[in-house]
Amino acid sequence: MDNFKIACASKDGEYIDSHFGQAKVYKIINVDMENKSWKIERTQELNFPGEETTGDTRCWGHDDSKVTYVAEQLKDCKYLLVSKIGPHPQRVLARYNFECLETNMSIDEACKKIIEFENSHDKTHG
Amino acid sequence: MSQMIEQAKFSCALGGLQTVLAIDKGIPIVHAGPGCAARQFLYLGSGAGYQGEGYAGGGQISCTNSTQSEVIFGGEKKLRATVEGTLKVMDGSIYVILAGCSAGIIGDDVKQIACEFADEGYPVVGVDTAGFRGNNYKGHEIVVNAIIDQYISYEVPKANVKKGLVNVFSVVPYQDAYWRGDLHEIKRLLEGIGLEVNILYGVEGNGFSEWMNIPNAEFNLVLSPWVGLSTAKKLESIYKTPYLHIPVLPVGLKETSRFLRQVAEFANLDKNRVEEFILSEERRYKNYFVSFGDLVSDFGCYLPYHLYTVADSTYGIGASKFMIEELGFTPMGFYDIDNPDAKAKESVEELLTGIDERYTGNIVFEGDNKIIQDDIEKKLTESGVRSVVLGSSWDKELVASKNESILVRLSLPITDRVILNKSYVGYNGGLTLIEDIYSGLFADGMITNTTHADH
Repeated sequence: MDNFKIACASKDGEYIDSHFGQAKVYKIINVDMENKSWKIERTQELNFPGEETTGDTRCWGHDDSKVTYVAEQLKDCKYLLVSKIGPHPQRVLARYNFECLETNMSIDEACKKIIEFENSHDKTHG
Repeated sequence: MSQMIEQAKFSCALGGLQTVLAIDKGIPIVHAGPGCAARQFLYLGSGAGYQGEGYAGGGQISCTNSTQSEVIFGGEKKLRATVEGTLKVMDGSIYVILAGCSAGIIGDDVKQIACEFADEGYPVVGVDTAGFRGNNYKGHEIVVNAIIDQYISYEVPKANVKKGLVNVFSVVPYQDAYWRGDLHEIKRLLEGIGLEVNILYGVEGNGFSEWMNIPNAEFNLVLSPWVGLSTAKKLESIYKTPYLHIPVLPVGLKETSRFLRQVAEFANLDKNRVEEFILSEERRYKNYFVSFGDLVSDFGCYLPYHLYTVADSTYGIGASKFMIEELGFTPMGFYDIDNPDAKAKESVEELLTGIDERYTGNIVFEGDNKIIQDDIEKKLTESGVRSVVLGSSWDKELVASKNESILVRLSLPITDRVILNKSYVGYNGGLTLIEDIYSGLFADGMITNTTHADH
């Protein structure tokens, strides 16, 4: 069973609490499917090139160049967890084969659910 | 996957949402993926002669639009929010949560969630109508039984039996494109012999109050080979209500009169009143029937006499029996599309061979219209005889191309006709069926070289 990474849009580092179009910080989780465990690999901050974004809370989910920039930064991840995401950025992200999911769960709980899903999916389709 | 259906003649269990829409102010709440509810509407609404969205159907259906997020993290939270929102903005008599495939697979408990809202006093019930539970005939039964089990049996725990009141469980709304006209005629006939009727669906009834009155009926009438039987048995076990099961939907004079006499005997109705009603209906029917005799004698050599039926067991048997018994058709094939269980299959076969023993070996249980069409095409080619096919809009080209045959649209999809109150049921329906069969003679224009041509 392959290992994979999950990108969690999280300001507080504990819960998935950010909308995709406003998320500036992602916790990147490394999942070890062999041991059914996970740990935070890195914190990925997004600094859009050529822009001063501090304090800017406007949604940029319709800006293709920014969505593409985020995708490039997170492209080593299989899952992208956000509290909300609109259909437009989802279409852009689809090119990168992310599994984009909405949830307000804690990172721990969400990782557990994803491992359960991957495990059952592997049993069914593996 | 071992098999693919090319032209499905029914929908999945989630199609039960159309049953909710057939109830006055019934509100379906769909817990399924994006597109599921819309597909049901396309097939069972637009595909049933353009019946429209209705009060809360089509594009207005409340739906969780479940995606992969709900599959992985569970969808109950989103469902609760959807139900809360629906209760705020949709004014309904009964709210039915219907779970689709994804919810069924991950195990979201819609019944439990419905219970939470019911505990707060809202008329909400929940059903598992995942597609793999069966087709929409099954979905229809699941919905009806759940409304009785989860709502009515709590609100009306004890029956207060009213003499002469009958509940009718018959055609499946929307899957039977003519359901509105059919139920109107059934109600008219039963009232004609002195009964009070809970028809339950459509504009003919007294809204949801009829459903709340179900427990008080003197008896239940199941007018179909198998759909509705489980409901009648349920009501018998909860309220001790007896039921009368008549498997043949009455079409035309003979069967309708038989039907009325059978009901009258079961309900112990005033014989004089019943016979008086039957006599007056038959007299009217015969007047019309005789007037069509001239056409039969004039166009005798053009008349079709082979019959192929592609329909569910309820309407298919009713219409075919009429055409064989009263119009003299020869049965060539019966294609039952409603996927009955083994026991019901046996009874359908018995019914058909009882009507005409030439049905032996010519009954096929098949939900894929492509397979059915291949068989009919072969038979029409072999016989070379002008025939009538009771089928759907899908069969238009095939029927027209073989022996100038005639298509009467009896089963879904019907997308080249607009259907409002039309019906083939009862005395009136038999006459309408005659009109449609023999109007088919002139589908390609007038027939010339006869004494009565072209004027």
